Amino acid sequence: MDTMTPARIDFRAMGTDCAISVWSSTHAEDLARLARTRVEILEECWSRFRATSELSLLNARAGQGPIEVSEDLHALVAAMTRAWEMTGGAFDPTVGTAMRAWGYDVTFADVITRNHDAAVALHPAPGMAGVAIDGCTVTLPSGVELDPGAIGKGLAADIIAREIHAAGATGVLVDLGGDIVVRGRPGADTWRIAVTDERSPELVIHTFEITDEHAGIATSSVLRRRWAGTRHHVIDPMTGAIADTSAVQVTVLAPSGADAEVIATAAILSRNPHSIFHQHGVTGIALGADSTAHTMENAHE
Amino acid sequence: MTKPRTRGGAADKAWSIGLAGATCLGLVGLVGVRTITDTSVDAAPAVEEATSSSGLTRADLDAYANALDAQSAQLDNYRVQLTEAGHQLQAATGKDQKVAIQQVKKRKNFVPRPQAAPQLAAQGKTRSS
Repeated sequence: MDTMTPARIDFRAMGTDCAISVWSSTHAEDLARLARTRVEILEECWSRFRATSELSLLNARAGQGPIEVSEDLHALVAAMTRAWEMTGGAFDPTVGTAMRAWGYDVTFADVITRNHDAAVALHPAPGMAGVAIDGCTVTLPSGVELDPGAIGKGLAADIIAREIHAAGATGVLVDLGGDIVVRGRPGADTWRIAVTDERSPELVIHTFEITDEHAGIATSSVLRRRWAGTRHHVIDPMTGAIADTSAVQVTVLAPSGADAEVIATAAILSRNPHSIFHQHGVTGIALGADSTAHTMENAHE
Repeated sequence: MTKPRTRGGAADKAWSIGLAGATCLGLVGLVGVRTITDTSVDAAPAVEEATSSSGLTRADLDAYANALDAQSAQLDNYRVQLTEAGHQLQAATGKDQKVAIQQVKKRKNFVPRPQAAPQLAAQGKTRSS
């Protein structure tokens, strides 16, 4: 049996704990180091918390016509548009203004420290309908602010896993704060990804065993990233309010990290997460407020 | 009845010379004022005017341009190193594998196998990001 040991690198990026494992007979450490570099490049481009990021520049120039963007930012906006269309607007990256109003306009560590609890005037998110992508330019309508929060990590993991695998790694696992993408094979083994209850991180409620060559797994939850008592980071784009969800945690296994993240967001916003799993043909786990009431649906069976 | 003015009279010549002199003095004065104004503009600290409705100044835009150039250079450098690592890996393993960004494969069905209790350690653990 092939007992290849992966090169693993752990680090902080994108406001969360990240881990990248690379399986390769040689140069695994080099590839893992390069994967980390790629995370940092994407963060510099996509972060809404860095004033110098390319996304911040694009948001600041909303309403001013087409802006030429880099390949990476173009990929992000294209993925956002596709995800918005694919979910009928349930996934909406234009909730940035509402998120800011609710107090999540700085890194989460600062959000907790500040504990912003001022009243918020509710407005529906403007949506992606007015966002135009043409060649290498993007046009944002006035008042639209893009927030990569519910797609950026999954998409970044997709890009990195694809590039590192293409360079010759036999297997790659990119974990950006729990949004996971796998590619290739972990030696002679299969991929196993555990799902835990956010309230009891040591309790594994399910393990996905993946035999496919590539997959993405993401979890959306209202149990983490909470502040000012009842506030959390899942915004209902239809109202601009903090979402009142039936499930408290949703995990999705999909063909890509971006899809997994987007569908998990749409599912947690839905009163019936299973209908969202079925609609997109993915496997998902929805955990109710009663932690014993988790269910699973394999849409392929 | 008004007598038409004729050209060439001594009084007209005097008037013309006076007018020309005054015009010259006016121009000289104007140039002088302009020069002083230009000098004062040069000497005073530049006042940045916003070049966008969101308040971005030219200096902001220049800073962004520099940041984007640095980002682009970093990405180019990453790609060079990745290609090099890929070539070294191929040479070491003897595989003739093309080092390139691959297209995402067409989706296949997933057949996950649920386990009540995992027998082997998971390589990853998902959680809300």
